[in-house]
Amino acid sequence: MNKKWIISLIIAVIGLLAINGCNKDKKPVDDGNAIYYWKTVFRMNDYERDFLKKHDIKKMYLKFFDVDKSWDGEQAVPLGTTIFIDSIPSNLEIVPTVFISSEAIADYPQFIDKLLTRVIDMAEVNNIKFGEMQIDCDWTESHADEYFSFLKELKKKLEPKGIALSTTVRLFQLGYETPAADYGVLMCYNTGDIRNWETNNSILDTKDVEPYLGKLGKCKLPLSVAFPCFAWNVTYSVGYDNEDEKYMRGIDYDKYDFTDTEKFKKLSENKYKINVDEDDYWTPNYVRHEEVSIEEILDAKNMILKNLSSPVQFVMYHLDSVNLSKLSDDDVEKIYR
Amino acid sequence: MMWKRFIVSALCLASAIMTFACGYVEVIGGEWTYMFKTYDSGVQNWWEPDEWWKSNIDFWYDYTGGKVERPEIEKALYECSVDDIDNGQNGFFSYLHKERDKEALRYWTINKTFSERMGDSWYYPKTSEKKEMDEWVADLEKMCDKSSSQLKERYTYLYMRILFYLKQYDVCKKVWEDYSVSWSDKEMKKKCHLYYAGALFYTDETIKAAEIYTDYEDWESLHYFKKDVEFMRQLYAANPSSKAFMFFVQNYLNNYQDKKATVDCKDFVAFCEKVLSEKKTDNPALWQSALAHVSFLNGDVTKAIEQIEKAPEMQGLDLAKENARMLRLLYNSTMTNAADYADKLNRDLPWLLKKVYELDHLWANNGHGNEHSLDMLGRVILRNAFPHYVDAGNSNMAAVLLNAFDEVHCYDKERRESMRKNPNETGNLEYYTWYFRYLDTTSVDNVKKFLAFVKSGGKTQLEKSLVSRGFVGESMMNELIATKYMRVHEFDSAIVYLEKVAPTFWKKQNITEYLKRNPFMEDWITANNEKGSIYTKYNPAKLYSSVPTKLQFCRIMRDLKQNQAKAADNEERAIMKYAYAVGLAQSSDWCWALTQYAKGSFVNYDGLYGTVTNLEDLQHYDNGWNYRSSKSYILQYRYQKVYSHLDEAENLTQNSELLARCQYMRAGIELDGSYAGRYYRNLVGKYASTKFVGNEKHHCDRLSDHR
Repeated sequence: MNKKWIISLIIAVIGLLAINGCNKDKKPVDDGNAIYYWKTVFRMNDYERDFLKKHDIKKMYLKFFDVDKSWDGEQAVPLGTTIFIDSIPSNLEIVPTVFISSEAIADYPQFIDKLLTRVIDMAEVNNIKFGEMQIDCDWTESHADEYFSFLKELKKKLEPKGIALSTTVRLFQLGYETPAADYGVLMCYNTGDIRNWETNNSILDTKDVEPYLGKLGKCKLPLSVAFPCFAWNVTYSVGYDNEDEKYMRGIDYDKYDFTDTEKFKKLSENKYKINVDEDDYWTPNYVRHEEVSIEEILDAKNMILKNLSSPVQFVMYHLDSVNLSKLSDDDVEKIYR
Repeated sequence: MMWKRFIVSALCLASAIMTFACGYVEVIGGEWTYMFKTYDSGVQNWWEPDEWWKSNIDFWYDYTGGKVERPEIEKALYECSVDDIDNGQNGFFSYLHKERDKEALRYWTINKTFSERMGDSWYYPKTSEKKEMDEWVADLEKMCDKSSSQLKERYTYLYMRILFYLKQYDVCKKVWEDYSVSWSDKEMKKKCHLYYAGALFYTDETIKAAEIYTDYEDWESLHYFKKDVEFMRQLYAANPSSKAFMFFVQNYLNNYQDKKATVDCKDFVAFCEKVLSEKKTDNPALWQSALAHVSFLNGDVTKAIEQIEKAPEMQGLDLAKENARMLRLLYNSTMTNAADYADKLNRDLPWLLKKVYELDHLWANNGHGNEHSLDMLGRVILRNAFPHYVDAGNSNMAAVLLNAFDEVHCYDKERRESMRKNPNETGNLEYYTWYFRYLDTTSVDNVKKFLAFVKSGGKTQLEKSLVSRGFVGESMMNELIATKYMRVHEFDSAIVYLEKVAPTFWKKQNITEYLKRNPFMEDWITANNEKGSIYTKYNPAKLYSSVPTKLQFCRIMRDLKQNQAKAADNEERAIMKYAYAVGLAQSSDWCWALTQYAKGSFVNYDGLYGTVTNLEDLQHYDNGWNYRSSKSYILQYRYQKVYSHLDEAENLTQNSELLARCQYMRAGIELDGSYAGRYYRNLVGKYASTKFVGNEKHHCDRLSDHR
């Protein structure tokens, strides 16, 4: 009896370890993979069409438009409405997604109905049947209450129509009240302070993810997880009086030839000093090239999965052949698996 | 580093000056301005031009045979909503109903509905509305077919607008291509043609589209094109002389200017060389100057000069040739070590000054910044030529360059013309200029030399040209020279120059009210009955108040100094010294208009050339209020001289009332709080029993606080 009890205990412990300790067994709840489409013209090339098929992508979060303050700051207006050139591939679930700036969210009572009508009209005209819509908002603490109220109200309006609601969740947004959405997509990118030159990689740095992991377990909202697949150059200028002060100038998507040592002096793995004439105030002085390797993505994925019991789905950001082609099929599968 | 300082101070100064810089456009000429410009964007505005607004009303007025008044038509066109078409409240629409003009009514219903929907930023057409639009399209097609040429143009325009919105680009193109009647309304034709260009653009006929946009100088639309060398190659293959290159080459080079440190342009250079070698283009001036500009941006100015040399004389569009000439001037203006520097400037600078002088307006067409030639002129003079002449010690050329520049970039042309006819006319336009700022901060000898130089008309061709382009008022210069002498307390010299100033000139400065502030009345004394009450026989305060002018002030100061020797005793002498000290202190503070040209400002001559610095800036940047280490000679003069006169007054007098006033004055003008405290302590201790302190303490808290 005693022996049996010990054996049972050992089996139970092994079982528990197997469940909690091995991330590889943590399959997402939803079948199929998902991806964001974040361009203003919906037109896919052959590579992108193949990518969807090859990687069993069943869901696409498609940005319909942004909502931001008008140029005079008086009202919130839709901007960057996506133009549909190509038709939507069959068997692909489209989730209309709307980005709302934190400046605009306070005006939601004025635009919530217009937003919903516009999404429905856009979907109808472009033959998109949808059962879910997503709201992406870079809200900060000062606008948190407004954002949560907005989601509650929107959900109320969507429920009678049988439309589910999801929301993006930035790491720093964890720890607030649970948004009134069916689930969230945790953005495992834009994790660092892009304005700070000392940041190593603002797109994704596992060091920046770590402090938020504790909050993941406490998050009551079911979460999907989105991983980055994009690159950019972040440029900086030095302060006039103090060359140690560096101010972010902008994001440049142009390809830089960092092998040109006359133009770029390598400072570290991804940071360069640009050779600039002393009296040239126009050209930035420093550039940080940011892209994320597959190893870093997988590290971040493992860290998150250790703290997240059951992800709804894995998502990639975003469908763009230039960046996706840097990953092998196997790499992509590792992200989605 | 010197240049960095110049740029930053110029920026700070410009931002400060902007608040009161009436009459002149702000020009700094920094390298952030684009140097290669062959077009001015923004010709096509988003609003309808006034002429079109008016001609549209005229058209419908004629359509009704003058039976509906223009204001009613204007209301119908621009104010009424679609609901007003049938509610009988507008005369124009009522007329159409009365005439049973179903076609025109249909046109207006479609037009108003479409426009209202487009005007709602949240609008996105529903499927049902798309169907409705299809019906509109069908109706408009029929209306276009059977209409007379009069209405056909308007129907076609609306038809193309809606087709474009519905992305029926091929149909949109066909409508234009099949249009069979000649156009009577140029604006309508332009609008339709631009929709056609848009449809071409969206159906990958970008070369044709680019040519159309270029014909209409719609540079804004060309921004939507792929603006790389590959596209330029395609455009070149289709039309080697395409005017659209004026946009694409400029755009490429300005982009390169921004990113030259991070991108290379070998491909572009190779393409330019190919275009030039093949000699197929009618616009080689553009390509030659593009090549030169790449060299310039890459830092090879010698090569750039070689390349640009012949470009202005090459075949090409006027804009390209003018741009090449400006570039030639710009490049040469940087070669400050050249032996023939002045000759090189003389070749193009007088031309550019004249060009800017004759501009209709000084701002860019798109409203962003200045007209290009003004920016180029600013860059040549402010950034290159002027500093070169300052460094070379040629203050005449430095000043005359600025003077000519200021003369041509004054936007208040009428005022400028009027003032040239009467230099002493009321108004202070010249005091907000670069040349005045330079002369105000350079040495008095330089100003005197400059006045003689301008009078002589100059020797070299460049000097003569610049002198004749600029304008210098003699009274203004004499007054400035005198004021500079006043700043250093050389009143005898100041009087000589002030006496040369035309009597009518004084109105011009518009400082009479400020001059009424009496420099011999102690501003730091709070009790009004104590101000000026120490003066006995010789009362400078009374004398000044009878004729409050700079000249009067100088004469009083001169007399105060001369009469000290004649004074009956030391007490009278001491009071004169005290009065002199009061005059000195006040003339650079409360009565600032006597020695300065802007309220609360001190002149800070600092190396290259001076800047006008206000007191707060001086405190911040110039090591606090410590005048002992201040770079400002006015501050140094003020304190050293004022204190030396007070010292002498104190040594001469036994009069405790005067001694108390001297202490009180020291406390009142002292900028260093720790020093002021000592004086106050003296006043509330040693001089507590004086009548002056007894009276003043009832008015001044500080005397009570130190008890």
